Amino acid sequence: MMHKTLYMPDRIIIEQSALSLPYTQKILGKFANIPIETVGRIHDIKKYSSNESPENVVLITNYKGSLIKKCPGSSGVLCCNYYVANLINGCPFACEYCILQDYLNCGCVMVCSNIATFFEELRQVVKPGYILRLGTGELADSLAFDYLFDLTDELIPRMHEFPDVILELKTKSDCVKNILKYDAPGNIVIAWSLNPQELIDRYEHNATPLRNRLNAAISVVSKGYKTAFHFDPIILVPGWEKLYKQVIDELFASVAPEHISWISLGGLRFMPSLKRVSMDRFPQTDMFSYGEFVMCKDGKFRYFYPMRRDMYRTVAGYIHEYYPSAPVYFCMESPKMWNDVFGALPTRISDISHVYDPYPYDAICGTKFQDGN
Amino acid sequence: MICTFAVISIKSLLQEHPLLCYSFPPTDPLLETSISEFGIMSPLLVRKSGDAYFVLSGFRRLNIALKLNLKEIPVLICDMDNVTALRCSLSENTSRRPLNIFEKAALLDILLNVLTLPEQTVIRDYLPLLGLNTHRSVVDKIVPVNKLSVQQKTSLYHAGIEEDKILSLRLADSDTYDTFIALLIHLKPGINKFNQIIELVTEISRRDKKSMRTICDELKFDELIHSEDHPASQRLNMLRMALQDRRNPAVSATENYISAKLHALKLPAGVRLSTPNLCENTNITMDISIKSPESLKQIAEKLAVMSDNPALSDIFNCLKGDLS
Repeated sequence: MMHKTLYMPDRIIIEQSALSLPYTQKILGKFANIPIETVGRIHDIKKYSSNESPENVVLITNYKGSLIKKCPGSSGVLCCNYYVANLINGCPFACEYCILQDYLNCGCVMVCSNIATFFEELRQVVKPGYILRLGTGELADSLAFDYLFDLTDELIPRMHEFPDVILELKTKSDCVKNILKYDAPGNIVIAWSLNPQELIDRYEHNATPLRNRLNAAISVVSKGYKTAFHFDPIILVPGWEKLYKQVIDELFASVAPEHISWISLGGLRFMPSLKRVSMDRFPQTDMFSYGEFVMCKDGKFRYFYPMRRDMYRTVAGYIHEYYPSAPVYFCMESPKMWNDVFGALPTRISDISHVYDPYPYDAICGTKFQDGN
Repeated sequence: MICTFAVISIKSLLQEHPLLCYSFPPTDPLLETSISEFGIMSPLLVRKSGDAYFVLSGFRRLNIALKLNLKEIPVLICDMDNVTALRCSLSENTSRRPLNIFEKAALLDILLNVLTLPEQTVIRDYLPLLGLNTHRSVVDKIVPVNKLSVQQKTSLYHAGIEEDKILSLRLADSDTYDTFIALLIHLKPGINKFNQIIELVTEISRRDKKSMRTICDELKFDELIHSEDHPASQRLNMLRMALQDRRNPAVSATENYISAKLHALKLPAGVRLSTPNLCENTNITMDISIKSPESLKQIAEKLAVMSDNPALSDIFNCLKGDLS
């Protein structure tokens, strides 16, 4: 573990109906010296939302809502048909651009311990013959809490039951110890969000250094896992071209193209409310000071189109220097941007159509995936 | 707790250490009228300190007594610590009236920085007494208000500036407070426009590595705020436009270019073109307002000619995102 500060809760609150669940009991086994409190329902738990340090509280729930949801995408942008599994909500890192600081109203770390329900839901969502891309990194960092909650021990051994699902575990951490215990199932992709170290220092507080993320990627590749990388958000600070070139140089010096399933690009974007929250949390931030932002159709601010287009062209160009057929795609961009940067819409680009196309077995995970091992 | 009533000389009160004073404004006209007519009816709370007395509660009464040149003053002498005294004073004050934002800020500042109570204690025990949410961010927002000078607070108080705008001043550097307070008083922006102005100045300052004061000076804020050449609403718009141009030069240049081209199109009356989500798509939206079938025919004839106007092609080319 290479976190600057290792996250450790100072209180655990459990929903009564979650107490007897096997995953709850496993988690509790790791927190012998931390005060534990049981409450009746999740509604009772929410009263802790105004606790003075909610981030130090872990809530364990028997979550009654849907654990799997389709990524809502955004108005006016192309959707990549991604599904999200919200088994954990919360993150130990403090990234200045993170949507969670505006989106999650609780502030606590929440673990949904009804894993059996998750697998039942997954069975219902899957359609045989259609690939379903699913990630646990929407409302949480997929791996940053793994040293505490061992969620991957619950997920990885059972993924062979779901050959039509590709599970992406997306992280800014280097918590891969659990993952390395298993031979790589063909349908699990370990993904890292990358940014230049200078920007990690400035805007991704407490997150794992770039070098450690890449070392973790090297170690999972050695166990046969596929990887993915997300340059999201790309931030247009002065000298950004050089900074992102360095990251991409370092990426391809660490991981060979054949081990990379996909790479996504996304520019800094935010709802007006997020900017206010972020500036209150990080009063000295200069993140919103560079580039020029315009309000887009979905109500989010994005870099002014020509700047954003040139930014994508530049970063994609760096990637293609190493990996000409790199499966690069955009997160939340318009058809116009696809056409301007890549010359076509994603379903017309063979290198990336597997992300958008419902029949992409071989392109993503090759024979290992088809074997379902 | 036993307190002793006494009438003491006003000179024996230690006035140079008003550590626990959070009342604002320091005097109150109604209270002053009452004291001048009936004298001080509610004794001050004091603690004995050698031969003198340390005031715990009643600073406004004391200020008025000094102003009225009273020689003696009724007090309750209590041996209570500062924290208890402050709670006592707070309880007494909040039972009569809600504290204003300056008083809340001063009180929190005293609790945290004079009495050095732990932040969690202040959040848990004192914010509810002030009718505030028990969250750290509330403290972070309110305490900086106490950095304002008495003169600045007085200007804001007498101008009746709303609390949310006063709270937004925390986002500005202290040497720009006078400018932003003048802006609030003279140009009367709404909260969203005021926040936007402070944000733009902050962003330009951080991008250009100059102080907020320098940015305000370079854009001649004070001159514009106090100018009498234009109405306040127009000056406010001029100020915002100047900030937008400086903060977003490419966006502004594009908007200005499109605006000039739209002007060159010589649109018929009743027709309005707009370019929503600048450059995100190449669509131009047209609104047509007609008064009769005949007016529609006239507009249609003019629009048919307009399609050949090179200015229209220029707009479409611009919307494709070619900054050149």
